[in-house]
Amino acid sequence: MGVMQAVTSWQQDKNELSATEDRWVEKARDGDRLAFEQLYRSHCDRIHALCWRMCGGDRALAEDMVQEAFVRAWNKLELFRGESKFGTWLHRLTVNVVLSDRRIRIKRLQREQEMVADVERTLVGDRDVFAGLRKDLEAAIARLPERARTVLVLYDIEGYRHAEISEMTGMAVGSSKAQLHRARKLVREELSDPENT
Amino acid sequence: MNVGNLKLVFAMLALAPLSVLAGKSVDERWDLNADASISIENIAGEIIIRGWDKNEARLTGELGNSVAELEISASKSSLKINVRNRGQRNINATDLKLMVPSGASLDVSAVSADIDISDMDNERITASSVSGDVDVEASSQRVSIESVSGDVSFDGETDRISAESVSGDIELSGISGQIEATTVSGDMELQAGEIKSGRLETVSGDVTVNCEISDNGKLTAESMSGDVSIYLPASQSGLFKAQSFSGRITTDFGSVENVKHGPGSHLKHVSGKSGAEVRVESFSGDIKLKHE
Amino acid sequence: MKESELQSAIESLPRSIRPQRDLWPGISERLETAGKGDKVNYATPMWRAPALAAAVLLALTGGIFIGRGMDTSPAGQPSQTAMEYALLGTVAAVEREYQAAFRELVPLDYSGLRLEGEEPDALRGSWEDLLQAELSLMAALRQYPTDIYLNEKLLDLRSQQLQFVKQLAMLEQNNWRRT
Repeated sequence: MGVMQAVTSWQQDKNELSATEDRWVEKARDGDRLAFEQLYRSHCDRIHALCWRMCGGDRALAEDMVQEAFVRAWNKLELFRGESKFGTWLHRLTVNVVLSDRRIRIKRLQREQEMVADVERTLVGDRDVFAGLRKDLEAAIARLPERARTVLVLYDIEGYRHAEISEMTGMAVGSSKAQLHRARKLVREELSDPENT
Repeated sequence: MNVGNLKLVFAMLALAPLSVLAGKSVDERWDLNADASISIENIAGEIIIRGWDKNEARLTGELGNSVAELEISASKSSLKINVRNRGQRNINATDLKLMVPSGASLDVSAVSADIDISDMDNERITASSVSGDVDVEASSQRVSIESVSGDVSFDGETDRISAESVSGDIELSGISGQIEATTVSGDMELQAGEIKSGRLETVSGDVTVNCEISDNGKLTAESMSGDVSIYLPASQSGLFKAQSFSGRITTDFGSVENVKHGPGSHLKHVSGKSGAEVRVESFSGDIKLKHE
Repeated sequence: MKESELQSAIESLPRSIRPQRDLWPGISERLETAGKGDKVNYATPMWRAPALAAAVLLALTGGIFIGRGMDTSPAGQPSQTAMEYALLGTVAAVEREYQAAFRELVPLDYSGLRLEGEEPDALRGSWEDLLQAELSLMAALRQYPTDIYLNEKLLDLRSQQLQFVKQLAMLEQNNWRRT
């Protein structure tokens, strides 16, 4: 076995992976940074997708949130007792990090007051047909008002239930449902607009 | 820009043909806050960044023939530029020059491209290349520069810097405070003011440092075969420690003795009560602890 | 657009999106060790825990233990304290792991890296310097196998070699990302 494969051991197949991950978590809890780095490599893309969408497509902010989430996870690792899978725990921790971030709240105010949108401009490159719709959908989600976007991302994309969303965001369950309805309606309107296709 | 215009921009851009990009000249401007965050990624060629006193960024340059897209994401607080090439082989140079508000934070990333940053007065500069050189001239609160085989250099003012290279040389001047510099076979030359916490590591490259250590400050230098020479003010007080297996230790601070019950020579000398500490260790490299 | 069309469009969105740059360095530098400590299972503070952690991570089977007379105290040496024996015992364990790992590295193959120009030569030069340091250090250790300073230097070197390997792995990984 080459050293490259040894060092990049996160490429193991899934059966080995969860036993391996339990080992990494234990070592990381004892202060082993290399083990924590393996956990980072293993979960980074998933956590980044979550942050990127919750941050309305702002890459710089999303990257900050990813880093903040992992640093917070390192600090709170002692509190993780294996009652759920590590990935689940990390995911929820990340949602809390993003929701409580001051900058998101400030950005929300800016959006509502100044309507300063993140301009995402990509000059056309090699893309497949379906990518066009996915890109429009991502852009439509990114442009949603803050609360509506949060609920749509957490419910429709990340699979949380309204009760969980209510607990994490502090809004009532009824409000969460209303925001979801509003979000889906706004996105459908945006995607149906002939100017956008 | 309001949402209506945004939709129009998207519609227009959907029509831009691919062939327009390759070999294209670029000239773009964006309004930016004075303390915006800017990140730019370019694989090959050159990235030049210059600070100015406008709240605006201007990108000029030539895209290489292998460019598939120039991805840009801009708001008043953040500008991200990513040069994406077709495939992996035969990547042509893309040379970019970016004028930015001098207070903007920078995050620059390249593979073989050289990075050249100057005239900045900001909070943070991060620049990394794989085989390109990284040269930064700035006043910044926090600097991180690295290359694998390229040289890295910093000149200006900062009190927190981390510099890393594997085979390239490291040259830092105007630094103080917290310093971390690591190399394998490149040489390291540091001109520093007052160091609070310095950690230098080399395997075979030579290290030369001019500095003073603050009260309760600490400088550690570790080497295998590289020579380490540290020049301090004659008035520097504190704890001076050095040890080497087969390298020669020469010092103006205290005197060198053979290690009892083992190989090698060492130095341990205390003067004054400043709480400062200088510790140098090598395997076979020579060690000098001298007056400036 | 119908509600059901929206739902299936949302279903098709990727749940994982790779960041445009490696965020680990920014995370790593903020990880505090105060309170957590780089705790390992032996008491001596002389140890650099990352070296051992890295060895465990790289755990490969086999490997030949280069006997350096660990169990005997050379004539003229003072008796070692219990702590020092613990240190030396652990160096032996680390060495087993590293020897196996780095034997694989000696014929370094750059073809997977797709790096251009003088890059591979510069890296090869650095790797050779690391190997040269290792040879010299090993020669010294054969003469003074229980010398604490030399054993510490060996751990430092292993850590530097591992860092080098990780950098290569990172370069390789970044190459994959660009496809």
